[in-house]
Amino acid sequence: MSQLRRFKATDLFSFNNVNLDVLTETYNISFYLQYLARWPDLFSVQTTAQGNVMGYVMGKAEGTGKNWHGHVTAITVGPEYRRLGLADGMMDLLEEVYDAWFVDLYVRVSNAVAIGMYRKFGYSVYRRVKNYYAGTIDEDGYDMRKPLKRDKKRETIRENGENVLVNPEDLDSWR
Amino acid sequence: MADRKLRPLYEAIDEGHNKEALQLANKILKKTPDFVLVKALKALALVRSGKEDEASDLCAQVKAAQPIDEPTLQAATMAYKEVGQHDQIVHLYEAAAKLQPNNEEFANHWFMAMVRGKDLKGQQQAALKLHKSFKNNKYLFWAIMSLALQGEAAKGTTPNLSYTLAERMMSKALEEGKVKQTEEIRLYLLILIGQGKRKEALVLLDSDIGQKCLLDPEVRQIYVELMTETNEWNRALEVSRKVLSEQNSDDWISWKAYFDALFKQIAEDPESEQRKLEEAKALIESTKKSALEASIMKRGPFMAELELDLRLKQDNKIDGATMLEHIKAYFDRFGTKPCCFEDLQPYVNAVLDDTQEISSFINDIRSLVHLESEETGVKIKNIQKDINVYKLEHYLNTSGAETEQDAVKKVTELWAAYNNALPLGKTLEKTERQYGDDYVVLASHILLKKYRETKDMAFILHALVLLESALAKSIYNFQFKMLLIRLYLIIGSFDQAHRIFSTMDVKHIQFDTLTHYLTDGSMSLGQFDLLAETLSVACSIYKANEIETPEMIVKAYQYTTFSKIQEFIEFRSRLDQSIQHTLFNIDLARVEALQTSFAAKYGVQFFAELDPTVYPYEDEKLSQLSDNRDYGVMTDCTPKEFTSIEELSRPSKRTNPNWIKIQSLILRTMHNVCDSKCEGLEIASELKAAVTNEAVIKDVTEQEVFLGRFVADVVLGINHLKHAEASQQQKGIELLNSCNLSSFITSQKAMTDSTISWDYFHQTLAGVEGVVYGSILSEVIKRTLSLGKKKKSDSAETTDAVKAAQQFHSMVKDGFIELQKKTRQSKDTVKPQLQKVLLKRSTEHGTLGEFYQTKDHQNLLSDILKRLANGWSSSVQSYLEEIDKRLQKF
Repeated sequence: MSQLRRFKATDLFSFNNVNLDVLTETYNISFYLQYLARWPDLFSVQTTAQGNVMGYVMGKAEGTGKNWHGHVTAITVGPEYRRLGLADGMMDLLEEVYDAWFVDLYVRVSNAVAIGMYRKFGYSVYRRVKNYYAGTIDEDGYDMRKPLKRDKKRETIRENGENVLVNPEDLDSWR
Repeated sequence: MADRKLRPLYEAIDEGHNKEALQLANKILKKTPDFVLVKALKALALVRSGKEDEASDLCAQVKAAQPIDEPTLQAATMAYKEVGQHDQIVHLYEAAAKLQPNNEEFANHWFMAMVRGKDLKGQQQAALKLHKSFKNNKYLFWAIMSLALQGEAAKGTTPNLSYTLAERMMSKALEEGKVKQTEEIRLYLLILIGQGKRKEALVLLDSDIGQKCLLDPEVRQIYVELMTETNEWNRALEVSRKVLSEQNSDDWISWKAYFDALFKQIAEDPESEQRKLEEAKALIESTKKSALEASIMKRGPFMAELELDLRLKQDNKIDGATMLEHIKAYFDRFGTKPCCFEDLQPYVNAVLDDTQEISSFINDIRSLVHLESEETGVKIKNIQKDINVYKLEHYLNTSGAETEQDAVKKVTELWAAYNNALPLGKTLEKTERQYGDDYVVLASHILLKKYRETKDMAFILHALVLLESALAKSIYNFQFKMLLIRLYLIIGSFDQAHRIFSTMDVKHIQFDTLTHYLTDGSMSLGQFDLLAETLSVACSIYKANEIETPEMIVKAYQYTTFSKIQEFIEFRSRLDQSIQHTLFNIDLARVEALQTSFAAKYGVQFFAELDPTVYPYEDEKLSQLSDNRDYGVMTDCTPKEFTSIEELSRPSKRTNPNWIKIQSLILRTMHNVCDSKCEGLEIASELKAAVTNEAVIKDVTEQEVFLGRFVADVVLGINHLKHAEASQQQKGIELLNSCNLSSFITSQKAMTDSTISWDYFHQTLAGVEGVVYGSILSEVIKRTLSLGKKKKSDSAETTDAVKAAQQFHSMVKDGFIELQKKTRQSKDTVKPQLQKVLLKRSTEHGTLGEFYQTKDHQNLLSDILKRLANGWSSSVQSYLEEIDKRLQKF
């Protein structure tokens, strides 16, 4: 049970239930608003019947030709609302809207819980990006992809992507 | 050649070497004094070196030169932005666009400059001009959007010409086939809905082009909303039924629309009731069935069953027993989910009111919990279920924690349950919470409540012990952290609250919404530097809003995302008008007033230079403030009719417009009396009126009322003293004599080992502010009278006035001495043996004592007491220093 709707700029005032969670990053105003301005239909929020924010997803569409794809920038669910299947509902949304070839996302290689979840949703590792997460401790990231209907021959994914190591600077500009 | 010369200048600016940039710019300008671009760049370097006045002079020169080259315009735009003169950018580009009417880019910039400056009419004209010259439909929609915003701003006035015109232009654009995108239809919709033309909006969505937009989920929602709002119940029912049965039975928006429509239909045609309800039940059953077959069980259909019951219950068309059975079934199915408690709240409330019934309900659901299971996975799930039982028990007020003994028994029970759950979480990631964390949250709530009833510190200390040790196991649990912050503040420890707060990584927009948890009322705790730093850092969000949000509104126009423009504007204005910003400003000014006024003359100078405009006190301005503070973060299972945990855990009343009114008026009154250029009694009289207005002072503490009255009376007195007439002077003398600052301070209590709390520190702050403001005012009185002396008259009145001034001065001095005495006593209290006293009190406590019989628990408490004592000691010390250094010179 949830109410799924577009994320509103004013939701930023009340998303703390979700954003105080340590794995959810809080960005500056421009970051959220530029997504809202450009891809308003790829930024959605789920609330409870009482209107509390349960989780949200923000995404974008980018690339050209067969690289035309959706990208999951952030997907997060508050601690009280996990294991309810909210994430897959929100992921579906990103797969529907544009006639893209695939959807991709980045995840820390150590985040086994999330990787397991994405695999269940049909994502597989496309490549491993060296030190994608820079910080006090650098960490590699997996670039995971899910092919969409348009990719009938499943050309946009590969097997054993875990072994394909790339440097962040070699990623395409639309990472 | 110019390029080669300019590159080092650009680089210096980019890298923030402003001094170097200035030198380079001056060098170039020496040779070519009319190089406008270099002037603009120099302005930028100037503003970044803090020389705003020089920068804006240069900007004006650049503007006067009417530049039309992109680099100069860009540099000047940046400089103007940073000196905060957005309106000038409009003129800059307006001139450029006029000089080069075929330059589309300039005209675009001109439009955008007006968007940033909130000039709706101007942007409309610019957009129309753009459309006329460059024939791009986008510009037409910009113009229409600008009109729609004017229409919205003029809502309520008839006729609303802007809306009318916008609608006319939109329908013409539609006829001419110019409307193609969903966002353009959204623009049309907002014009129609803004005027309340819902029927017309529905017709639009029913049209071919409207139907194409239904791919967008939000448009689908608007579609159904329009149906219900126009009483098209059959359609609303049909559409929502279809969504629920074919697409998503978890969609609560559709369930609500479905039931709304259903009951409306029944009301219109009572005979259909039986049939309609059967239909609804069938829908619930069929969606339930498919939910049960799915891999992840959706709660939607099961909650819909409860919702239908609730609506039937309101008309007494269902018996409580049936509803209760459904609730229990729901609990059995979803009790393992943390959100189950929140799900059930509205329904248990509606059906349960009798104590007997409630306790048998709790017994029933408790029997559905199987903690005895050996299998880890099952056990974890049942722990969550058990927690939900406790939460519901709490919520229905049957936890039986009324007496102190019962309350402590409950706390012990919850703590044991928490400890039993701990071994199951051994393999959890560091970022996750332990399974039984909410047991501890509930236990803390009970202890907090007991503290409020008994004022016995041991309860707060106990809650701190439980929470701190649970936090060590779930180091990121922000529920623990929120409670800890509040409890530390209640017990008077800002540094401990700050320590926890700083681990929460609060930033950006959260500065506005969450900082209050730490800072509201915290000035009282005397750690001024730490507080001021926190406040200043948090203020950065308002600057960010000024710089970033207008750019994002511009982006929304560029991407023609019309559905977001109003939203962005609302967001910008809510931050612009944020109540929290005013609260930050007030506390920063109060802290600075204390810190700069170690000699009274500096205090006078500080207040004289204070910019009063950022401290609103007028009712109209106060009513426009937007309260964005998020009070909904803490878990709370308190029954509806009881005081919430958020309120219970607050050290003082919630700051609100009335609090602002008093504080702003105090600051402004001080400003007026200290600034010789300011005349008039108006503000002091406003302050006097505010502190005697019951409706206002109910929201502030008695100490704050005293301070307000004191400042008002003295300043009114000073104003009377300025008059030459004897009767006026006499009035002034009386007012000064009537300020009972010393009795206010004498009545204050020194801190004892059982009264350490925010309240103690708060009265100390009021005392300190009282004597500090008093000493500043005494200085002003002296200056006022010595001005009078120039007449060299030695009349009896003057002598009386001088006497009154001396009396006032010595009253302030007595105040300082008394306060010094009291604070020294408090300092004695926080000596090292305090920890032992408090520890002993807990170990020998009638009800809590048992817990502290083990060495481990004693050590936990000792640790906390040690940190608390340090904090208390430095707070008291900081007050003592403020007093001491002033008294030396008095």
